[in-house]
Amino acid sequence: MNHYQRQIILPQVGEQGQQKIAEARVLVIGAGGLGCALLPYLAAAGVGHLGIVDGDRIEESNLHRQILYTPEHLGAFKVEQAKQVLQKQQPQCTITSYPEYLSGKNALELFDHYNIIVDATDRIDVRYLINDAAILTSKPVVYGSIHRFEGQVSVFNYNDGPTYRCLFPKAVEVPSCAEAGVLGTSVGIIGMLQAAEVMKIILQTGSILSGELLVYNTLTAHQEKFKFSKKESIEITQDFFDENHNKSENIQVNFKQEFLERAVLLDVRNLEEQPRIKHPSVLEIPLSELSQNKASFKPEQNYYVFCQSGRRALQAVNYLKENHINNTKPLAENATQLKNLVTSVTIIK
Amino acid sequence: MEVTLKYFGQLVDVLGTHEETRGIEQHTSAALLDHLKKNNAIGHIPFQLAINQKLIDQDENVTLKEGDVIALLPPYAGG
Repeated sequence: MNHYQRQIILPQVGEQGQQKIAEARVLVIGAGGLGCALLPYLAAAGVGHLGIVDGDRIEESNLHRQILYTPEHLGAFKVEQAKQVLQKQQPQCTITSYPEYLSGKNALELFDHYNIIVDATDRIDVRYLINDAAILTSKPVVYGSIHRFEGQVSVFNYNDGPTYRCLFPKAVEVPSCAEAGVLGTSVGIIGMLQAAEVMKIILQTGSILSGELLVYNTLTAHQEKFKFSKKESIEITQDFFDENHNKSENIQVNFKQEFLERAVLLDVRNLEEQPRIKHPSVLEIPLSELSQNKASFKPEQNYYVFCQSGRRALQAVNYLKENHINNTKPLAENATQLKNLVTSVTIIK
Repeated sequence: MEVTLKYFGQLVDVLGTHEETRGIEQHTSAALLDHLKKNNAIGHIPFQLAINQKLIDQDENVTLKEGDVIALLPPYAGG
């Protein structure tokens, strides 16, 4: 037990607390910037079981902030690499990696196996999915998110407390790190604040950020807390969950059918955004340049639009429809997911 | 009536400031929210209002007072 001696001597931990840490089962959704920051500390503290969910593969543009990965890992699943590094650092920790994206289909079953859920994703729609699945399975969620130099941290559904929907009732589209830019130190700080909340929940000590939104600004080193209360009018039922998370109006790309022969995949990201998807079916026109390229769209053609968060894809779909290019739909996959699909299947075209 | 408006997230990017103290004509949170949403620069950005560090419901109408600190809090996606 020498390994944990320095934390066991804390009156808030002790042998009993260390036992609680060892018995904890924490599921981390997202092995990006926030996940890479908080995972090593949870493993090092002796968390008995860590689950990591992410379908992304490691890209060069991740390396400035996702510190578990090195250039030789490019192209590998993030969760597999994270597991390998953490396991080497902390052999006593049991780590389960899930190289898949969280969805309405797998969320409830996954959550059932864990006590605490950590939201370290970079997509708003997944944040609602995590929230709703956590309510149905009665798990607390430790939430962290980033916009440039600012981060938000809170704890949802803790002892039936307020949830993400009490804070932000409506799903909206906002820019991700890929679109807005971020410094590694900012995600590091926010990830660490999340890890600290996880430890407090396990140890039942301190005051937990339930019903409070902490906003930290890394440029000014200011932090502020905002109180919010539970909205009893918001009720998450299984039907609501299925309605919101188990049906998608977005089209999923299918490389195995003749899908691509009839379709153009329209990438509306700016040309410098990575990863680029080089494929005969992909047409690259940034959202801001759609109007000047309007004439090149054919009304009889099917267009499936994608970007990074889905926000610009929706704007592009609306714009094209306004201009009578009606066979236009947003893709369920974002650029990163699409890149993974393109590299993992043989394309017949 | 003079209040302090605090901006967060994308609102800072668009408005170029974190905070301003200024006179407003609106006397309720609903009227202020309506006024802010009509501002073309920020109308497209979703946010919640917090008055003196307490979030209010979009459908809740709070009477504003001189010196109130009103925060505009958007959701963030990044991680």
